[in-house]
Amino acid sequence: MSRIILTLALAASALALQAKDIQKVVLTTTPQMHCQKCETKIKNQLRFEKGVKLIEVSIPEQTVTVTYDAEKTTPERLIDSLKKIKYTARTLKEGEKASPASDNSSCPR
Amino acid sequence: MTWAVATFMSFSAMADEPSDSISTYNLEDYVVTKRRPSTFALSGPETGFKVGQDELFKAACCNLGESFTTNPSVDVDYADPATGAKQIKLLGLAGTYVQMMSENIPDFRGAAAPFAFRYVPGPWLKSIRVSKGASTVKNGYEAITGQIDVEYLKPQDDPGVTLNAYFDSDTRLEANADANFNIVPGLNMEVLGHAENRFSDHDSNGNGFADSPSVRQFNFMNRWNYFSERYIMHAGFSTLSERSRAGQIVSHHGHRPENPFLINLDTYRYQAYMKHALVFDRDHGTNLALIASASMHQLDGLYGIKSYSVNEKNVYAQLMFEHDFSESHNISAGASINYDYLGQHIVAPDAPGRLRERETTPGLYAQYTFRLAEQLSVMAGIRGDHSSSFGWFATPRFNLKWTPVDGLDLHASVGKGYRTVHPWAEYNYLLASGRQLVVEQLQQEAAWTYGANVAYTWHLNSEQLKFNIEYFYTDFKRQAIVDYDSDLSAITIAALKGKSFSHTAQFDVTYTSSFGLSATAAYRLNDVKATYGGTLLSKPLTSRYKALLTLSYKTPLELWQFDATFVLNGGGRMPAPYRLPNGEMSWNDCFPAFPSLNLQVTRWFRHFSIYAGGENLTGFRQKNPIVWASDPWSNAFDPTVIWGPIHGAMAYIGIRFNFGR
Repeated sequence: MSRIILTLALAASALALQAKDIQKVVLTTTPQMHCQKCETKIKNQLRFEKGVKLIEVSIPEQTVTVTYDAEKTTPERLIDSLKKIKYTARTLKEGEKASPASDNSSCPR
Repeated sequence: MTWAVATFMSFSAMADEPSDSISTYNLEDYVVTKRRPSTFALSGPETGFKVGQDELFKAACCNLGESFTTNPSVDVDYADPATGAKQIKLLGLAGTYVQMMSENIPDFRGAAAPFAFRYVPGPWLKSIRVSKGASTVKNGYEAITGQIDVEYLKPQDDPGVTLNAYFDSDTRLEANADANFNIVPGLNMEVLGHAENRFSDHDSNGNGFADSPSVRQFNFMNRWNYFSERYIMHAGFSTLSERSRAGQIVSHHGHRPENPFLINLDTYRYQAYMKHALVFDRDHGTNLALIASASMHQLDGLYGIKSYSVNEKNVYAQLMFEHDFSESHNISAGASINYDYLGQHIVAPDAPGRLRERETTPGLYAQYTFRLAEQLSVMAGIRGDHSSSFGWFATPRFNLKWTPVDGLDLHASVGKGYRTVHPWAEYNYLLASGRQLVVEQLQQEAAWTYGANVAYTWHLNSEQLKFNIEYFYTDFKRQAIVDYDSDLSAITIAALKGKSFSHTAQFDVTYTSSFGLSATAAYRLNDVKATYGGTLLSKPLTSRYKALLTLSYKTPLELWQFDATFVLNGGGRMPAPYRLPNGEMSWNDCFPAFPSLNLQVTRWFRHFSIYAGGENLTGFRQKNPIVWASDPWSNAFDPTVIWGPIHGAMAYIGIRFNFGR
């Protein structure tokens, strides 16, 4: 009996993992991120979005890399979410670099 | 190696700033994402650490005292069941030798000292800065074992509202609120509120006495901040009212005594402060600042047939000038004045009845800091003060930090501290004992503290391992000691005649991973001795060692947080026991080592978070904490000899709401 339960559990886990369509998108923002506060604000906005799995922010590279479940969210939804905290975001194409961080940016309030 | 150096330097440079938990650094071709520790070393020459909000969220932290639950350096005493007086210990010595400050203003002195740690609600805290050993002379002469400086949430923080509610299995309910408003550009205002109450009384050991006082507290603070290019202002006021009821307030075997022994404390505290700074030259950090505060503290205490009332007034002012001659040379100089008045009325055997204490202490100080890039910083300061009660005295202090190689910090410090003792105000909770409280003629306390510390931080990619070893020695020249040993029918607050010292040695290692796990393991040895009745003895009720292990894990998106704190408190000496009316001895000669385990889980949502946990999950309790509870009116009664938890395991749940943040 216990073997059957274990086999079923393993099969269910494998199916659940297979069903997920995990993808990665790299965003850059306007205004630029220039401090710890900007980073925290962006992370706090995105981490509660449905389907988001991981967020990596690089202020020097001006990138927000989001790993997400494509069945639950889309890059467009993530961009819309950032609008709520007054950041306009766009996706970076493969190999594209964002404008480097400049000192004259400021955090939106 | 280059990236490791740069990471360390970035970390050091930010070590004194309010923290968020994750940082990203670009170092040549490397991009490193790292989680910053929630407790971090002070960046200057002083030895110590700063506890950030992330650390405070690891436990319930209902008040300042409970904020040190996860900390290896600061011990939190167990509250006595009569008054709830709960002190911390730093370097093995009582909290009275730590200078308490609120945002760099000396605070909670005299009658407020025994209960100070429950006057600061945990949810109001932004950070706590703990300086060990000799510290700066800027804030006065009182720090002997160090300073604890509390930073409250700031008016200039993001506008919005946070609400917090907490409830535990002891039926304590707490509610906290803080709100920030940006009035006009540059002008911000903040309101902080706190209310707590307990809805039932517990007597888990069935001795007819409540295990802890039933405390009802209301606490309110209003703060303002204005800043412009050349002028910065902070100001605020606070009020506190507290009612504490303890003693025979619970039913015992179905009935209450006709003439119950009650311990009632009613406290009212009013406080206001202001800080003004004129900035003359930002490039050279040239500024002139005026800091002033005033407080009134009224306590009316009843302890069976004894009573103690105090009206304490304090006024403090400081004028401070600072200037950087260059990046390497900084000078700070200033003048201060402190005025204390304590109008007291004591009803107890052989007590003085009405007693007025007044002291005015003006002083001058100068402090020079030398910095040689990131390798060396030296801080030397001296102050001269004149007490209207004790005359002139000088306070020299010296701190050094040397970084001979990357990641290795060496600290050394030496300094003197003084303290005027207000024995009835600071030890009024001892009136709950059936033993007579005897107060001898006391002098101003004076002690030297010497310290040395070696810290090494090792970075491997985005992970960090930090080793720390430290030693402190405090040598009292004059001291007021609480003597339970010389006279078994009395507790004597006596002037030290002989030696009194404290040696503490601590080793701790902290691991911070990039994937959300952090852990601290620490071990500290205490050797605290004083001369009681001509004999050098270990300080009673002081653990000989403390071992601590904390584990914290946050999921990748920090939606869940799991925290565990395990402490093993070493045993220690009990005061000399006395014979009870039934022929038994009041207690054993020593108390044993005992474990304690706290667990908490937190779930974060966009606008709120829920936390739940348990404290003292090992269930260890001090047996018979109230001695001779069957007859509290007798001389044999004593509820003040507490070395361990009185409650068993306790569970709690809390919720925090954020609006507009």
